[in-house]
This record gives sequence, structure tokens and C-alpha cells, in this order.
Amino acid sequence: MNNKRSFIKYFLGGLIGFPLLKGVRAEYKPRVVVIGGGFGGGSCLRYLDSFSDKLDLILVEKNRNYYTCPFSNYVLGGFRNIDKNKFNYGNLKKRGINIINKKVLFIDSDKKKILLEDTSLSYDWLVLSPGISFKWDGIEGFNKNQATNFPIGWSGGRDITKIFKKVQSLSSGSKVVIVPPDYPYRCPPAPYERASMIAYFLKMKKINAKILILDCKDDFTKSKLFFKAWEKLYPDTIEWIPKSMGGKVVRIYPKENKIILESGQKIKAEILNIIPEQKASNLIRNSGLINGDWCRINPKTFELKSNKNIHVIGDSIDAGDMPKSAFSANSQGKACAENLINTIFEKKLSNPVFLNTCYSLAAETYGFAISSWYRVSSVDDRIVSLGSKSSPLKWDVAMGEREAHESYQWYTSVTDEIFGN
Amino acid sequence: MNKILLLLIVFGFSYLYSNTEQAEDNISFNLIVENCNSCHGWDANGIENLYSIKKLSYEEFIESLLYYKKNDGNSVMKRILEVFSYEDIVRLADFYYIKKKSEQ
Repeated sequence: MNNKRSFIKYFLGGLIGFPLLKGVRAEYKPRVVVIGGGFGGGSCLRYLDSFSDKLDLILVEKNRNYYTCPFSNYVLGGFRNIDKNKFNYGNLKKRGINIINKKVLFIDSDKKKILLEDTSLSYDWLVLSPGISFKWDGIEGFNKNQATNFPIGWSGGRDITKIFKKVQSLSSGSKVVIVPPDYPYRCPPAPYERASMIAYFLKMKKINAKILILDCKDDFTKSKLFFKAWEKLYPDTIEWIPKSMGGKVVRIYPKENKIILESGQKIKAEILNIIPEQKASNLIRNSGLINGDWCRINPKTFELKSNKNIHVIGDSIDAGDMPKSAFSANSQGKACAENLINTIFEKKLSNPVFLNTCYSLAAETYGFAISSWYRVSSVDDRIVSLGSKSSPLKWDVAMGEREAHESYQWYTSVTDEIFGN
Repeated sequence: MNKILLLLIVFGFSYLYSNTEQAEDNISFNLIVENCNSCHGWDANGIENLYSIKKLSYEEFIESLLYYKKNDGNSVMKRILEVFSYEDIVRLADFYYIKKKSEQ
């Protein structure tokens, strides 16, 4: 009898509950929040967009306008206006993505909540693509406050125009010092491309100034291609001093615009561009999601090894062999999205592949590139390169023009992918 | 390239792969295509002289990739295709055209 009653109770309950449950299930869309609308987050969103009828997609991005890091060096060459690197999120809104332009203060992974300036937001899955933060203890005398007078120009934005103003004030006999950081850092060839762009500007303006690159490393990516270009385009303008030749900077005297090298040599320059060493975004560290400098992720899903349902892409992760670049972040964003969809809808995870093609310009119409495919090594549980290939060392003006042109096309295409209709 | 020879290669590999298991490690061909689209347009419609992948027929797709892979120049495409075997190119074409059909 009891069994019968229970059966009727549950049967009736089932009849009553089923449509309700079904209704709730049918309406419920898992909420995916993406923090950071740059190359990683934006690419991830474009892919997730195809599932927008099944997902509640939210982008949290503190800036209403986004200035790209790629192509920011060209502002220093004097041939690209910063506004050409500026994008907004209007089209994403039209695509149906809910956009919140607020700063994220904290991520509460236990409660699956994001604390914003004046409100909070819950999530089912979180994708973080917040970029990098700087370490301020690498060079004595250089700290966060000095960055106002010595703009770094490493996070997109209008910072680069402050450096350009300084470049425009140079005259013959002036000296520019660029101090690249140690690995790993965002966009490995960028300090050397930056030197090239300043040299290009000086050449166009017929200013006979000197650019010193004072390096704490003994080699850098595409070094031979840069050396060849400098020799051909800017003989005696750019000098690279590696660590083994005493290039490491140990102290800065900001008031005197002076730096001291490991060897004890003092150098005074009209422009000091110090690019500090880097680490994962402070948001991730301050939220207690990591202990070390970089996020450790599952390379198939980009889920943090330490936290479920939080995925990190782009410059904040240890991506194995992949460099920290916009192209890498774009590729990771797509892979992350694909396996996030597979996870949410309980499908088999795919084995991702990634591509990075890193273009650099040595002059407005002379470029070269390095490309590599990457995949996940199941042995090492990390992303490994399948071998990289660079432009040939042979000086070839036509090829340099073609590769420069292709870099513009890549930029147009990828920014359209992220910010377009 | 002689079109008959190309078709023989294509159908030869297609036959071979129709009789074998899927890629042993479930590699995402979709992501290969998505990475191509980073330069060729997110909708694969092309930008200036970066060709529209969408407009290529199955044969043209294979033919153009084989051309880049075999040519003596040093284009970015040649470097990108360095790790692809001929059979990979055919598998990629197979995948892409099934995907394209399903989207139509």
C-alpha cells in the first residue's frame, strides 16, 4: 500500500513537475562570461556566437574603445595614426552579445561570481583574457609611478602616442634607449620592431640620432632578419647590446634620464623606453586563482588546472611553445571556444591545433614573418611547436613588400573577425 | 598541374581514407580551417589578394594548396603548409567541403 501511495505521489508529482522542469530546462541557457574583449576574448566570442541561441553570452570589458597592441609600433614610424588601431564593441552588441563596460575587481571562484565596480555577476563558465601585468622589481629605480614620465607603450592604448611625441622632438645627436624585458613577455619581436620604426621615422626626417637596444638576453626572435634589415636600411643607427656584452640594465636615474648597465657604464638618453618584465594579469592573481607568474591550464580546454569552469587564454597563460602574441591569442580563443562548447553540451573534446604567424615590419613596406603550427602533446600535457619557419634571410625587396602587405591583410581580417558585423 | 593527375591523387587519397579510421587522435580539422580564416576572413570570403577559400571548388582548393606547398618561393603560405603532407591536404579538403555543404 505504501509503495502504491508512493508510486501515485511520485507519478502525480512527475506529471505536475515534468512540464515545469521541461520548461525551465528549455529556457535555461548556460551563462558564459568572457572578461577581456581583445584578440583572445574577442575571437572566443566570435566562435561562441554561433551558439548564441543556446548560450547566455556576456562580455565584460572595462574600455569602451579598444586600441590594438599589434600595429601600435607603426605609430612611432610616423605612418599610422593611432585612431586606425581603435575599435569599439558596437557590432558585438548588434550580434546580440550583452556587453558590460565595467572594471572587474574580483572573481569569486567558489560562488562563481564576478565582482564589478558597483554590482556583481554570476557565471556558469568563465573565460578570462585579460592580458598581462608588469613586474616592477626588475630594475632598481624604475617603478609604476615612473611609467607616467617614461611611457611603456605595451598595452595598446594611447600610451604609444606619448612615446611618439618624444620621438618627434629628437634631433641629430640624440640618443634613444630601448630596454626589452626577459622572457616570457608579450610579443617577443616587438622591442626590435619598435627600434626599427623609430629608425624609419628618423630616416624619413633626416635626423641623425642613435638607437641603443640594451638587452638582458643574448638572442631574440627573428634576430638575423632584423640585423639584415638594419644593416640595409639604417646602417649605424641601431645598436643592439646583448647581455653577454654588458647590455643588462641594472638601475635607472629617472630625474637625469640616465641608466646604469651591469658593467657599470652610465648612459644618458633623450628617450628611455623601459619595458618591464611581465606576469599574468593582476586580476587573476588578486582573485587567488594562481600563485606563480603565469596560469597553468589544461592545453585542450584552457581550463585552469586549479579551478573548474574558469578558462584562461592569451598572454596570461603558460602556453608551452606558443609565444604571447595576438595571433596566438586569436588561435587559442577559437580552440577554447570549440572545447568549451563540447564541454557544455557534453560532447567529446577535440584535439586542438593552433597557428601563429608573427609579422614584423622593419620599414613601412618591408616585413618578414615567422609561422608555426602547434598541437597538444599528450605526453607532456603542453602545447608544442611542430617547427617554425621564418622568412628567408636573403634581402628581397619584393618579398619584404609582399609580407608587409600580408601583415596588413591579416590585421584587417582578424580585427573584422573580432569587432566586425 | 595536370588536372587528371590531380584528380587521381585526390580520389586515390580519398579512397584510402574512406577505408581507414578517422584521424587516430581526433585532431580538430575545424580549428585548422578556423586558423586559415584568421587571414582569409572569418567568413572565409577573402581580403584583397588573400583568396576567398569559400569560392574555391574542391579541386581548386587542393590544387592551390599543392601549388603553395610545391612552389620554390618563400611565401607565408608555403611555410604554413610545410607540416602538411599531401594526404593532410586532401583530408582538409574533404573536411572543408563536407562542412561547407552542411552550412548551405
